[in-house]
Amino acid sequence: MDYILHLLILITIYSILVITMNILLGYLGILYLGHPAIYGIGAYSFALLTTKEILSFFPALLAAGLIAMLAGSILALPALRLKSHYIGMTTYGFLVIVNGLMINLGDLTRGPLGVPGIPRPIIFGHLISTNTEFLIFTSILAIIINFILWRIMGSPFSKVVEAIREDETAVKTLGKNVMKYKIQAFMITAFFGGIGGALLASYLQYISPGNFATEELIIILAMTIIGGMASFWGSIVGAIVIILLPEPLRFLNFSAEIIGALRYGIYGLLIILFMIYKPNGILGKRTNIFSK
Amino acid sequence: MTILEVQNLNKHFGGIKAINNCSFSIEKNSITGLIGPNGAGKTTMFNILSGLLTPDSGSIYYQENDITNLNTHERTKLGFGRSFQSIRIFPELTTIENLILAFPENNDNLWQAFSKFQTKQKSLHKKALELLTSVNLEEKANLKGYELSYGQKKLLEILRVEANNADLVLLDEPTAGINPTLIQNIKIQIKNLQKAGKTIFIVEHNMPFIMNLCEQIIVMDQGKEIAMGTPKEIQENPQVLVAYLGKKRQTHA
Repeated sequence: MDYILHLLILITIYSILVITMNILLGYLGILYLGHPAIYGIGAYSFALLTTKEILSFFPALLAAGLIAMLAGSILALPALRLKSHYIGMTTYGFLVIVNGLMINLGDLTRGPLGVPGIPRPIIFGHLISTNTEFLIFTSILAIIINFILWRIMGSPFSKVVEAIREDETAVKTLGKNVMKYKIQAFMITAFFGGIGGALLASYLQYISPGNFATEELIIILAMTIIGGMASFWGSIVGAIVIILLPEPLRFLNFSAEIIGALRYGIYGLLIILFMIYKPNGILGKRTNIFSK
Repeated sequence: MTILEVQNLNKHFGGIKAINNCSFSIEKNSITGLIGPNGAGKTTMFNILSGLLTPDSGSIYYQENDITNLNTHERTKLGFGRSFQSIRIFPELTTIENLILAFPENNDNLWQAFSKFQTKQKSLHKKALELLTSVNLEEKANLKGYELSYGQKKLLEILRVEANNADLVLLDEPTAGINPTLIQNIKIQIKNLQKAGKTIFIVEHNMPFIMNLCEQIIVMDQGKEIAMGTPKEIQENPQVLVAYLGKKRQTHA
């Protein structure tokens, strides 16, 4: 039972991470591969601010979003001057650099040892400690955050963002400041992604650089692609499918090492199969991000 | 009254002089044609006028203001609008979304996502539907852009410029690859734009279309304007014939 709660908690948190990923990858249509670095910055900011007792839970959650947004803006400046695959190289490079800093800035981040003892929230003097309570807590937060994102992605703002994906030059000639929309999309992704990362940190209570490395990128990419590009509900479906997918493997009598490796193999294979046979994903739109 | 004036414009691509010291002006509320053989620099001129390319030297004045250094979207805010030689509608957006996006009063500011944008967008939706009805495209309103036929896409692109409320409309080959019935439809649209007080500047290869529609024609060859005048004057201009057909061979009596 507790295990099912664990999976449900992961689904609520990952739904935020996948929707924010999808804003840049699907809606804006840029090859954005830096998301684990962005929400990793949120997670680490939250972990360090709370364990060093600089801020309490909720202010630290907000701060995590703001710090991630700042990092997102720093990434956006060079990335948005580039086109197609070069954005992929830049954002992936950012992921590698940030991950390297998590490992090597030992005085701040404790390096490969990671940060333990990340607190759970206390609401009205009550510590949210059990998985049931934490699931209610993340569900409420995920509903609030995803409602805000749903509202934005259904608004005329998001139509302009999608039009930029379709034809940037045409949007310019219609009098839109394309750069403004792109940077705003980046900031939304980074801010809410950062909060998602902080929730993940609070749930796991321990984070290390491995939580935000290339393997994480493969998972989040699989969720976005399989769920559906530029699709709000597809993002949630993607998170559910990918989190539940490896579960049947547990009932096979393989050792943990093999199952771990097998998981990534399956994710990779799924990405490839979807790219070939159903590039729109389960609920997604036709985008040309990977053919540009 | 002059709405657009181009002075001594130059644009080089490597060793190629795409625009070579070109100057001309366009009268307000006129329909002006820009013609010339392939490679004359017509589309390059349009790209410079709409701010997608920066000229090497020379100036562009719009309603007597120097706009040479303005961005594309800044020019659009002043009143520029354009269509493209190759269609540039948004294929994954529906026909009506394509149009609504073009209205300058579209509520697409990020913060408006938290206002009652649905009610605000209703009047724009109605306006867009009226525009579509005017060209018998209302049944296609909810089709995706990629589901339209070539001619319908072309028509939608012109409607989009109309919705954008541009005062100076640049049309790059509006009739290329379109059947005669739709060409008539496009002609009516362009006439309507003029009636609404707009200025239209067209690049076109379809000579009967442009000679019939335009009041003023500018001929370009090798990046330079070589003639300007009414369609009749242009048709009789020997320089224009040379540019289009090459030098006349000596004929013997």
